[in-house]
Amino acid sequence: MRLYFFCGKRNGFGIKPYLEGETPEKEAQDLEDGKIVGLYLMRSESAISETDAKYGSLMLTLSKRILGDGGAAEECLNDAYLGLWNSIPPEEPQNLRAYCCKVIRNLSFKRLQYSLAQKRTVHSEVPLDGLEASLSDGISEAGFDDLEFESALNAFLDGLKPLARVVFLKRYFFFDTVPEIAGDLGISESRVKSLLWRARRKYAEKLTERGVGCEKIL
Amino acid sequence: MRKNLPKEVSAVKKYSNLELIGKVDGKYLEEVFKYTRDGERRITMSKRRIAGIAVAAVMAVVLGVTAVAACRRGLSTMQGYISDREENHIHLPEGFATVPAEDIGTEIEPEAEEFLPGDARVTGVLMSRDAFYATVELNVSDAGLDDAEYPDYFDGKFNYGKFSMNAVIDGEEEMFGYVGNAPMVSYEDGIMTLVMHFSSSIPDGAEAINVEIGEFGYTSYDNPPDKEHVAVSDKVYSFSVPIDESSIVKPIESVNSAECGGVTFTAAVDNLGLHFYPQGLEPTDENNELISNIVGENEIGIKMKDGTEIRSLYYRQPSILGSGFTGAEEVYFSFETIVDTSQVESLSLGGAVFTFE
Repeated sequence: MRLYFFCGKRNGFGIKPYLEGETPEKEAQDLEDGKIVGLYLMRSESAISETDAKYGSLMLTLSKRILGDGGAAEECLNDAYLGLWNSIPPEEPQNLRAYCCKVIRNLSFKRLQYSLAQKRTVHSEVPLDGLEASLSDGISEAGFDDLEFESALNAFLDGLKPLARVVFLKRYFFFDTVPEIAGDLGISESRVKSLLWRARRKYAEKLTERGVGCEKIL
Repeated sequence: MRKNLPKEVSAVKKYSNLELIGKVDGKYLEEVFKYTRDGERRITMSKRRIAGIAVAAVMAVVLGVTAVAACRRGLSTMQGYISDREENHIHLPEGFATVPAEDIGTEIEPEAEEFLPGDARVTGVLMSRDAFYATVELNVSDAGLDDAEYPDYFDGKFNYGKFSMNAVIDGEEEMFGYVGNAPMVSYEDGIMTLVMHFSSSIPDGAEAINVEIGEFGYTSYDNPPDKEHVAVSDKVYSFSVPIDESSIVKPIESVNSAECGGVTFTAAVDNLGLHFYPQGLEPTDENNELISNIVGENEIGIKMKDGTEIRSLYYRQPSILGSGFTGAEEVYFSFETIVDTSQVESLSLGGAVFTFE
């Protein structure tokens, strides 16, 4: 004998009703990344609008998290589009989404450093929960520009298990909060913190092992 | 030491470390997108473990425990039965009193002859003081889901817009848990089976737990970083489980204490999780971190009477451990599945072994 329970109807989310036969396919108007890159290569300005339509919100969100200021983030976003336009070609990114994230991120950090240097108020959301301590007081200019660091960083990431790697990057590349990471991945917050703690330790060990230019500032 | 430097220079140097993470290879960023978008390589449950749970859940084995085949990495996964539906009762594992149907749910629909599209039914419930475990079947036969494509949509994870747990204390409801997703263990012929698993301690003084589940759907990541809940069913189902001696599984305590990391522990196990109890430590931040480190650095093991043994670190895969908490007063981890405690021979934490009668 089967047991049925009281059921009631609730509709407070205003969500798209899937029962109407729709399928959760991607919006037809989003171009594939390869085609968008093709537009850049053909010097078609629609490449910018297509990029904006597809990745604009992602890039803006990332920039806002670094800069803590919507206006500054939008300026960075515009700079990022210009940066994409100027860099493609000769670059032909295989992963346009990742490429866009790196461009906006780099620009946002440069903007952040400019603001700090000018003693402007910055309310950044970037996590300073010990990552900086993993590498003493910073990286030398030589270390920053050295390809060895890039190699060491990616070797470190390659040595992580996938979940730890994803958690690390969601936190320190995308600046997701711990609750956001836990929710996205369906794991507990304590597990996220534990993964991050171990990853930071391995991060410091790997870079030290590779002799990346860490220096103490006296 | 960083002295006599302008503060903003120090801040610049701090942010430089984070900036350097930008040199990551793009393939790792794509991996992040894949994990949080379609969960193709979601690693909380191996496919074979999911299949094993589906056998127990869908078939609704009555009483007792069935061992299942080894999972992908050659480790056994213990399976317990979920429930049976005989005589309007939800039966708990052998040794526990049944919970009469009339005590479950403020209103219960008359038994229906059919399981209609849009309907959901809870086929089993198991609770401890720290965890809640239920299986739910969904009839989504009219949702237009394509059997051949569903893995791309769900990848072993299905969401429900509503899963709240409310403790009834002195007649008042107080929400103490809210979960947003559950693994899908099977999907066939329009019937989807989900496992709802939630770790949260029942508040002291609770007389009953009122559970609301529903608004089943899945998460669409078509416009990252925005996420959209796409509904399959907008129904909400509620039922109540009284908190009394008959409805809560109790942990069985170990017969001995043992030392790990310089701390003496005792242990306990119930159907839904394991417990280690540090002895003689005040719950200070320092001690909490001490215990967390001990647990993080040592394997947690379970050995069954038939010789089957699983050892895992809780943050690694494969693992039968789900969420939990660590602290100076108690270490608790819920199991990803149900364990028959009568078959447990011992628990271990590193080299410390805890036995049970």
